[in-house]
Parts: sequence; C-alpha cells; structure tokens
Amino acid sequence: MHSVAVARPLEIERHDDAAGPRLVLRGELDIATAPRLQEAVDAALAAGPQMLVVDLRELAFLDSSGLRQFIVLAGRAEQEGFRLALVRPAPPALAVFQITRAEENLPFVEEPPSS
Amino acid sequence: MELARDVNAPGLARAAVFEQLLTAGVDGELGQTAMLLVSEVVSNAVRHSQGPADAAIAMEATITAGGLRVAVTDAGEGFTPRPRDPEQPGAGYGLYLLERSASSWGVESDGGTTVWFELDLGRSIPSRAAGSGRG
Repeated sequence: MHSVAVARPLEIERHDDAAGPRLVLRGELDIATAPRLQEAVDAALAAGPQMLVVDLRELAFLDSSGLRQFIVLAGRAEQEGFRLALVRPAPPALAVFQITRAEENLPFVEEPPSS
Repeated sequence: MELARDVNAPGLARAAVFEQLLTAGVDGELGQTAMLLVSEVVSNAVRHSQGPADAAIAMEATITAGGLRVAVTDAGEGFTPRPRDPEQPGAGYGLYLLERSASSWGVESDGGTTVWFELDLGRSIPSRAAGSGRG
C-alpha cells in the first residue's frame, strides 16, 4: 500500500502576472511551514501591488495556523488597499475553512483572476 | 509515539495517524477530519507547553470499532481552554475545531497535560448545510 510516510513540505511558486503576484502553494501548511508562506507573502507585497492571488488548489493540507495567516492577510488587504484573491482549495485543505465558517468571510474565487 | 517538541511534530504525528487509519481502512472525510484534529492538538502542545523545552510530546492513537481516540501529553502544567477571542483574529481556532468536529474531547492535568479527542467512525466533516448556513 502506498502511503505518505513523512510530512510533505510546502512548495511556494511565485508568478508575476500583469495584475500582481500570484503564489501557488503545494504540500502542507502548518506551524512548520507557515513562516515560509509569511516570507513569500511579505516579499510579494513589498512592491505594493494592486492584487495578490494565492492559489490553494494544490494544497494537500492546512490547519488553523494556515487559516490564521489568511485571516490576517485578508485584514491586511483591507487596510493596505490591495485586492486579495484566494483560489479555493480541494476538500482536504478546505475543511478548516468550512468548519470554522471562515470560508464565508474570505475572498475565495474558483479560478485565478485573468490578468 | 514520542515526538520532539518542535514545529515538525504535527507533520510527523499526522503521518503516523494517517498510516494507522489506512491500515484500518479509514479514509475520506473521516481521515481528513482526523488529520486536522491531530495537527491542532499536537500544535497546541508544541506552542503552549510550559514544560522544559527538551521534554518530548507523547501521542497515543488507538482505533477501535467505535472510532479513533488520540491523546497527546506534554510536560506542561496545563491550561484553561478558552473560547475563540474575537479581538484576536484567528486565535484559538484549534480548540474551536475540536469542539466542532470531535465526537468528544477534553483536557486532563496530572503532572503533564493531556489533551484527548475521540472521533466516531462514520462521522464526517460537518457540512455547511447543517445548522443555519447559507441556503
């Protein structure tokens, strides 16, 4: 039986689209990998873009430490005046957003906005 | 199993329980909920333990016909579970997730602190349709 024997790390791929940076996340987001996402977000926002896209479709796992980051990021978007779009994840990573009902208050989209 | 009290502990704990669930033929939504709760309970022990930094975290996961039971013990002196604080965005979601998704859970202090939860087999992630969600 094939199974996941070790925790999968987080991969962050950055694309600089015309509309702004887009971060594609793969792997697992938890207290071990959350600081790396924070760094990537800070770097992506350093130039003051009008939009930030975070694509969660290939994220295999996310817990409340990741949820916390997206809640804080949504507040930051409001304060700093950039548009945030979170591309809705698949069920394993969507669970934490649904159970906490944070899904209803975060700017989810089905596809990355076209640039 | 014993886990070093560092940020890698939740991932290692999830992988171990995932293996156990696979062996028991459990996957799907129950497996997803289990991964989430294991991650929350172990992260909680990593972050909030007041024990010595080199004290390990002990996790015991058992699967019976009734469901999954996970108990995580650290050397800390315990804490009082508090509900989510609306003043702190995103804080306290770990316990909130236990409250919402576990069949039962609790905290016991006896030298160390044990946070445990049980998840019924066949129980799954509550859907948004439950309660007064969007129609």
